[in-house]
Amino acid sequence: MTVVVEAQRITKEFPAVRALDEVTFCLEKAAIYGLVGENGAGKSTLLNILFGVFQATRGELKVAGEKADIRNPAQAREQYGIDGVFQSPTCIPTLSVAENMFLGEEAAFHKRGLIDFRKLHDRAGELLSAVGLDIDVTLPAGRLSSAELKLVEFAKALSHDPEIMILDEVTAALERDDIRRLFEMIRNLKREGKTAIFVSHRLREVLEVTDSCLVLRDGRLVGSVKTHDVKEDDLIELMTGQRKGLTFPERDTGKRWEETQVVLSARGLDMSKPAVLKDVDIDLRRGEIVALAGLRGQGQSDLLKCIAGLIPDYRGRIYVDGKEVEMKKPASAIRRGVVHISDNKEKEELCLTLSVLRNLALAKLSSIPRGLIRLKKEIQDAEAFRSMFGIETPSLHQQVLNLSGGNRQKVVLSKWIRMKPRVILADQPTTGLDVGAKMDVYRILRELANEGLSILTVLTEMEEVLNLPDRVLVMREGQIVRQLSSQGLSEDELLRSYFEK
Amino acid sequence: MLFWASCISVIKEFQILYTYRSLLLLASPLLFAALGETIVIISGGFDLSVGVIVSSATAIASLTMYLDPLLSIALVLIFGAAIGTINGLGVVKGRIDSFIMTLGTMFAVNGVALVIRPEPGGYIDPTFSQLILYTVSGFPVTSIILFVIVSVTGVALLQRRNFGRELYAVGGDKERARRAGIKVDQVEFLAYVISGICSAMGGLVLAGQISTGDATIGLPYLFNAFIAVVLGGTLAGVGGFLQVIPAVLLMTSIPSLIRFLEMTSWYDFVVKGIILIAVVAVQQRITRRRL
Repeated sequence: MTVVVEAQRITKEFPAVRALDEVTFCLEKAAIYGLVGENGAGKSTLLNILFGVFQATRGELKVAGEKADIRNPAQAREQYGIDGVFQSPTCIPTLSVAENMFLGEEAAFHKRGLIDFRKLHDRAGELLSAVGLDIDVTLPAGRLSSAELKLVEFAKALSHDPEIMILDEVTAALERDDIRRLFEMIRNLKREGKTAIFVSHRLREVLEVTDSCLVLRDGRLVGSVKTHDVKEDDLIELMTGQRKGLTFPERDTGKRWEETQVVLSARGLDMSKPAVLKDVDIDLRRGEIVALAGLRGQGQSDLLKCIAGLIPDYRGRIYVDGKEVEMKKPASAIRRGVVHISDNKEKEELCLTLSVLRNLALAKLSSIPRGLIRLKKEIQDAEAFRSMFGIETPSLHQQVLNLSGGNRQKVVLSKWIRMKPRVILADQPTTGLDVGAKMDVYRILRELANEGLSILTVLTEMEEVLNLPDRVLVMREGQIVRQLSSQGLSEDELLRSYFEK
Repeated sequence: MLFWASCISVIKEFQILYTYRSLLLLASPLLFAALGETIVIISGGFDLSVGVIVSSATAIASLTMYLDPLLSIALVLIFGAAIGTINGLGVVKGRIDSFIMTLGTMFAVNGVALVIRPEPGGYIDPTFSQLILYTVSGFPVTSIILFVIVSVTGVALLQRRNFGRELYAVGGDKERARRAGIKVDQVEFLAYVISGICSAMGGLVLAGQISTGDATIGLPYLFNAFIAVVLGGTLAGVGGFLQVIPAVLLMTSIPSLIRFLEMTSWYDFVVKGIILIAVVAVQQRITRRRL
């Protein structure tokens, strides 16, 4: 058992917070490590130190026995063999896939001093097939899906043959098949004697593929365990400090839904751009939580967007409280109490450079009487939401970009709930959130439903689909193929329905 | 697609005016300036000092050529590189927005040029001038050669050299380029230095053509170079010099066209403005559909 990375009392301090506190551990060769912890626990900071994006304030790092002072990612890669896939995308959207893969390394493709593009494209194609991706490498990277981009970055990292491969939240956007293939490749790395660090909020995946787990909490390493010694609940306990499994709020499984009033319904929803929807009929009742499930990209998000008035080009009818509505722009939906929460909150929901206070006001701005914002009232409302949802921020004037993912999501939820909506269309409200934040969101959604709101949400994690909603609609290729009641729904049955035609 | 549209309009000029022989001659200095501007714009910035470097180049040449033409040329190029360096330092180290920085250098250099050459005049070595203007049965040979060299070098640099790819990367997404290991600061800095040198070279060619130093002659070059770059569909991280070349030719031929149609020369600006807006509107519609 040779030690490849040795970290001694690594500490990282930022102006306002100590992100890592005396973290000490050893990583061995030919092993797969899981790194888990809530958002804000310090995972990304630790990885960034290994990658060379940051340097530790105190502490010592040794790689392959030698003291390591990693100043930048290129050095990490070339000198220490540390490479991997970051949580946030690194591809430049205007450059082609092939160009992105060899950015900075084009010298290998020189012929008479000029880049030989044919060679570049061929090599890119080779590397991508190795990870199971078959796409046109001349496409600009901006046109790929998140899943494809992750695989491209993985292929790129693989091509450098790193000694230490770091994978930070790469499975969130991938399908099961891709994930299975990814795990196989990670195991291959282990067989070749390399070390892998796998970071994910999906504890089941961590338990499946890793040999050992490092658990961070509040910047400290609170546990270093062998994976086969622990269960999911144990990890959660280490991560959150509380003995609690991932719990979901109680549901009223005996409720007679047919007797409840229908708040929103749609008939014959159909569209071809930007995605396909075929003849979708849907009814949403008061107090219901309905999940749109299925494999990724089968039209779930597009259905939400259509109902929310974000897609003007649709056919079919949408009714709110029995009255037909033309949902051609978001304002039409909002006016009738139908709000949409995007899955891409950084891009579509939050103004990152603005404060929490101002973000909370975003949706309400157009309806403020006489156009004058009353600061005191704004602060009052914001404080109310802060305590209600437990938004962690030193001050309401803090820029939203300084908040963790979970807290940002709470800000987004608050922003919309202020509008006193009747229907919430939530697109993947818990992606990227840690266990604690997820449970908060589940609780909030269920409480809102109990007060009479209707919630239609796209959920991607099996556990959520099985335990949160009252009803599940499985979509495939733009159609609703199955409606399942949550009563007695098994994982098996659910999964099978995903593949039905 | 825009490339072809520009080509077509330029060819129309040819047919109407029969002045194609002088077109390349007139366009050469602009091509140099446009190359510099293209490089900076692709990197994500702006270079507003392009025009004044051209005029200062003529001014410096007119003052120093009597000593030794080669020395003079060297001085001009060093000057261009120096201004480029100042721009580069301001943008990269001083973190000053490129628009503001190069605006500042533009005013400063303009002032300096007027101080050293308040009135057009001075001495440009006749041999140099003859070389630049060398014509064979109506065809401006030197201009053609220069034009071809600049075009080929420009396109090759941007498309087929590492530096070119890095420029696009930095313009496309600076932070991600940095994470990919590209020395973003170096790349940006070099872009401004190269632009300074290109503009200086353009000024030299111009000086040879008009055999004078003129501190005010360069201002339209900024204007035209900028529009040519945008017409060529080039912005931060996208586009290329190949598309800018026909736009350069277009910009050069418009004044002649206007004279031919017997409109007053002020229409020059009106026409260019309208073309700019119209073409960019079409471009936007095309890119929006593609991404």
